[in-house]
Amino acid sequence: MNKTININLAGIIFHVDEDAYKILSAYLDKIKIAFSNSEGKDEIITDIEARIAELFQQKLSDKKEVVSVADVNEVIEVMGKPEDYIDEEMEEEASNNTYTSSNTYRNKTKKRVFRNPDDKVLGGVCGGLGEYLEIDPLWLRLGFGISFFFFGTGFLLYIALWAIIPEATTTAEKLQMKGERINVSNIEKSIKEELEAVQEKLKDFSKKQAPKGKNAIEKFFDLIGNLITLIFKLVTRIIGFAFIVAGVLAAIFLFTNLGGGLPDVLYNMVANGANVNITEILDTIFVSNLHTNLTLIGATLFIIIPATSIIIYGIRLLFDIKPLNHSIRVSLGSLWGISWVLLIISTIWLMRDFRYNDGVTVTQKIEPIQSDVYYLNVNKNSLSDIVDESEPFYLDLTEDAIYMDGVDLDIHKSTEGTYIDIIAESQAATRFAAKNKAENIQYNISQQDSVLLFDEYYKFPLKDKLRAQNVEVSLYIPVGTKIYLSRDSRDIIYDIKNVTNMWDHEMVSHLWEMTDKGLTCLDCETEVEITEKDTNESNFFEE
Amino acid sequence: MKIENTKAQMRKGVLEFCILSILKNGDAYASDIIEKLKDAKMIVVEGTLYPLLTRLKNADLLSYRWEESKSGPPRKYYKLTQKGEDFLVELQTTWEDLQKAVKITTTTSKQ
Repeated sequence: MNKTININLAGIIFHVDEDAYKILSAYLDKIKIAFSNSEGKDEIITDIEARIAELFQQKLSDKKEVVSVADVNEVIEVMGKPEDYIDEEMEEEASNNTYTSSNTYRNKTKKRVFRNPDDKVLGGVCGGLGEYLEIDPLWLRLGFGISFFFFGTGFLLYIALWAIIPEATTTAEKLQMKGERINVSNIEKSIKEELEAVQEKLKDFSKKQAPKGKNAIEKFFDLIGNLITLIFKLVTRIIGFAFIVAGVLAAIFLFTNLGGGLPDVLYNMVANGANVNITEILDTIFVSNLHTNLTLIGATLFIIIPATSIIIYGIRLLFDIKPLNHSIRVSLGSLWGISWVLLIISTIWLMRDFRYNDGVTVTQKIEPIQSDVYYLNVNKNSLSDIVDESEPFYLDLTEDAIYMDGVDLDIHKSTEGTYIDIIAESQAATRFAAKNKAENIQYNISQQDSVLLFDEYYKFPLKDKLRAQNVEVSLYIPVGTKIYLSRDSRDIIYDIKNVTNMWDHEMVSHLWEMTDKGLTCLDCETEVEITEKDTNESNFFEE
Repeated sequence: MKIENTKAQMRKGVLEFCILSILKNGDAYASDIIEKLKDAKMIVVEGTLYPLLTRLKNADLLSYRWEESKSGPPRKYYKLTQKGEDFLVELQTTWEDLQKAVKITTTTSKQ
């Protein structure tokens, strides 16, 4: 039993044996390619198809309804292999410039990318690309080989290429694979030719000629259509190229970060100068390895799949390749779905650890001083002994501790002496654990005579993980106490209430006194003084 | 130098002349022309003819009309144009000259 395929040849339907169909369509493809340089190729091909139809008909009868392999072979025998009669045709074309047709645009045998089954190590990708770019595949293989070891990006790219580039199976495809060389000047040429074709149509249109029964309006729309096609082709190629670049960059970024290779240049762009890598950051958040790995796999898939798709889409646009087959698309899509699920699970898991908030308050007495002014300063060097860093980030790590800045200092009026309240807070899965984590937070304020030195950073054990730990410091001073806010204190003061409603950053480098009304500036210029701000506004910023 | 190539080239030179001559005797379908050329062993494979016919037609030496066929697709029915007839006359003269020339050269070389 054999399958037959229905074909339409010169308007007549034939039932053709499946194998015979393959031979016939390869033959016709070859003829098309062979004549692609010739004038009136469509007409020649139509004529040839008509003749083949005629020959088929002579072979068929009421008793024999299906065109067989033998029939096709006989017809091909009669018609001759294209190679047999193309050579002279080509010669003629080359030496003959007298035939001037209106159609000066000649379609060269279009070169296309195929995987080369005759020259392959893995999937024939390099062999095919080598054929396409006309370079020795050895160099491509070498390049891919090296990139396999580098960040693994080459591997990703190779798989993507393998998946989307079709293999050259028929002779016609192999011919196309080896077709006219494609390079920059060639692409330019083909675009120019397309432009010329459009211009020609434009000329035709302006002359208001209407050959082939087309009226001016139809021609006009043809022209618009051609222009749009041309622009579309150009734009898709540009976008395709950009997509490939973007996808490869995304892949490199991902691999370098997850691989731990971490070139500082790339990373610093994102993390704004932080000298920590992804695994360290994950270590500050997740308690269990399982949780970490779950998140890592989820995030990897989450990024890698769109990146791969973008690369694939770019290659498709650039080289004019058919879409991926259905099953690949479905599996890519479901993998991406899985990555979503993993990330959601990870997030919910993590959120459990943020359910309860609790804190502890430590009160630190301030010793009375001889002079009448307290100098409030920040211990900028509190970290430099521990972490070797020129520009500290808001979060820093040592082997067993996390250092964070972002202490909030407020100044209040006191009724009973001078003291500081240090409120440490944390979140956790239970109230007890939250309190425990809060107690683990260390924050130091030292007094040297009249100088109050506040640490810039607070510290807690790495095993506590980042659980929204926070330190708020309240300095209580009685009425009449004077305080000088040093320039550095801008890093820790946070929305300090004062009678003139000045912003925090304006308050530093000034001398203040606590009065009945609140903090009053003693050395501010009068212009700065603002009578009474909208209370709503100040409340808003207090939040 | 392959003898086959030389033969093919000699045939090719007169192929157009032959096609035009066939059409001078009356309008014909492509398949008729093919039959005659095959009988005369002017062509081996049919594919050769189609690009040639298209070319002659594009050069306005031939014209064609469609005719329905009892069995099979409609066929192109080729006809010589006036230009084609003039062309043929010229080719005819050239052919006769050539024949003479070949005869003279081949016979003198025998002596």
